[in-house]
Amino acid sequence: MSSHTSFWKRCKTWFHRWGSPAWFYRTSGLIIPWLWAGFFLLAIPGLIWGLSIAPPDYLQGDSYRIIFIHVPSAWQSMLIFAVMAILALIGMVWRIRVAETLAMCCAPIGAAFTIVTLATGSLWGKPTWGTFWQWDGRMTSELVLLFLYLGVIGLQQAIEEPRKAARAAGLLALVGVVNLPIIHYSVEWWTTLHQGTTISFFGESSIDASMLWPLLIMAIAAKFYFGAALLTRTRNTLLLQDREKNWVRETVQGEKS
Amino acid sequence: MNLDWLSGPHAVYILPAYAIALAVYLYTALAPVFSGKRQLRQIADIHQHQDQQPS
Repeated sequence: MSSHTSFWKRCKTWFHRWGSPAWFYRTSGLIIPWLWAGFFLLAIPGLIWGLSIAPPDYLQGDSYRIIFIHVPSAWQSMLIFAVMAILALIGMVWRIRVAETLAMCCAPIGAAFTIVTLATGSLWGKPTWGTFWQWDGRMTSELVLLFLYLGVIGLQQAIEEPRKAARAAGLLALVGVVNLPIIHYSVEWWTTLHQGTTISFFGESSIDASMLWPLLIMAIAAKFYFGAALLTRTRNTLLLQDREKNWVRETVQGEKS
Repeated sequence: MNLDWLSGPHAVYILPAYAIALAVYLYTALAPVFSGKRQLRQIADIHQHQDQQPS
C-alpha cells in the first residue's frame, strides 16, 4: 500500500471517529481549552485595537467603533446557520447522531449572535441614521434569521424523541438557508438604509487598514468562541442522551475521582 | 491609547452595545458550563442509585 493511500485511510478513520459520542466527548474536552485560549488571545488585542488605537471615522466619528462587535457577530450569525444546515444534512443522509446533536447545539449560539447583531446594529443606527430601526431589507432579513433560529430551537424542544426532533428541526434549518443569500444581497437588491458592502475578500475593501485589521481579528475570535461554545453544549447533550451507556458511567466516575 | 470617545457624544451608544454583547456572550458561554457540571452530578446520583438497587 502506498503512503498516499495510507494517509487518506488514516484521515478517513480519524473523521469517522468523530461519529462516536465517547470519542467526541473525550477529544472535544481536550480541544475546548485551546479554543478559549485562541479566543482570548485574539479578542483582547482586537478590542484594544478597535476601541483605543483605531482612529475615528471621518464621517461617523466614534460611533463606528460598534463595527468591531456588530460585523463579526453578523458574519457569525450567518455562518452558524450555514454550519447548522450542513451538519443537519450530514445527520440526515448518514444518520450520524453526533452531527445531528452538533446541528441542534448551533441554534442557541447562532440566536445569541443574531440578537447581538440586531441590538448593536440598532444602537449604531441611532447616531448614524437617526433611528433605532427601519424595516429595510438587511434589518428585516436578519430579524427573519433570528425567527428561524428560534423556530429550530422551538421545534427541537417540542418533539420528545431527540433524534426525531433533530431531523424535524434540521429540515427547517435546510429550508431556512434560503434566507442567507437574501441577507447578503439585500443591500444590492433593494434600496436600503443599511450601507452596502464595505469589505471585499476578492476585491478592494473601502475600509482603511487601521480599522480593517482589528475587525478581522475580532471576526476570527468569534469563530474560536463559536467552536468552544458549540463543543461544550454538544458534550452536555451527548452526556444526557447516553446517560445509561457505559462510556458515560466511566466518564462520570473518572470526573468524580 | 486613545479613549477620548468615552467622554464624547457617541459613548451612550458604544458602551451599551458592548455591554449587551458581553452579557449575551457570557451567558451563552457560561450557561452550558454550569448546567454541564450539574448534569454530571445528577447522572452520578442516578448511577449510584442504580448500583444500590438489589439485582
